[in-house]
Amino acid sequence: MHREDDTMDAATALERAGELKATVRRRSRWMVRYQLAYGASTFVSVLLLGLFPNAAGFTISIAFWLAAVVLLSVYAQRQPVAHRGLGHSHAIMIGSWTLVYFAVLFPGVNWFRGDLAWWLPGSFAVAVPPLLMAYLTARRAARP
Amino acid sequence: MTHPRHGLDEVIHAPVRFSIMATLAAADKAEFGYVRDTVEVSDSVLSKQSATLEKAGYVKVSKGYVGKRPRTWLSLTADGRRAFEAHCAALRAIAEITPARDAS
Repeated sequence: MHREDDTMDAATALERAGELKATVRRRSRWMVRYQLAYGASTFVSVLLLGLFPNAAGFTISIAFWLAAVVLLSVYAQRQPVAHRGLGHSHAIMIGSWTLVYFAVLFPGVNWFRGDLAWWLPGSFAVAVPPLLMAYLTARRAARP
Repeated sequence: MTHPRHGLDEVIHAPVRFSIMATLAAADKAEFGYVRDTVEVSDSVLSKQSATLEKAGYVKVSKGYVGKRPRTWLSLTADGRRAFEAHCAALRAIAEITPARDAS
């Protein structure tokens, strides 16, 4: 009798743990929106910077990017839960984004100022890390 | 002494504390109000049970502000995560082994 109670308790507890895990995953979908917005913002910012290689273009691009970063930071801070591994995946996203960002900007600013053939694919490339991470986060959140 | 129930953690085994641990195990961190609503308990019950888990070294409670609003965050410590995984392993062993013994 004792063993039957144990079995029922154990199965019920494990089922409850699974439900709670799914609930946390669902509520952590805000990170997908954050990563999509980050990707879109960085695309626009880099494109503005590359296609308008003057003081006004630089100012507009930096102002746009700073506003996006502030809004995204406030949005992230207001969320009540961060799924397991979010800090790690965010660090990977920021690290890879930084590498691509400078790989596009350094040659772009020095040799391809105003050249759409460089800056359009370059802007897409810079947006890839956050967009790829958004896809992976969405896939993870959709797991049962 | 070989029954897997001996592997259960007395601190975690209580239903509310188990639910708190399960919620936090799926998260890097969670806000107090979110855990309260997810586990479906009152503020006072969550405070009491999270204090017990904190005393056991399983949960870390940190306080901060979002704008002018004070916030309390809960997260599992490394010890807490290990203890919860071991507790779940014991639960799985109980769920899997006991029917086989009954059948014999």
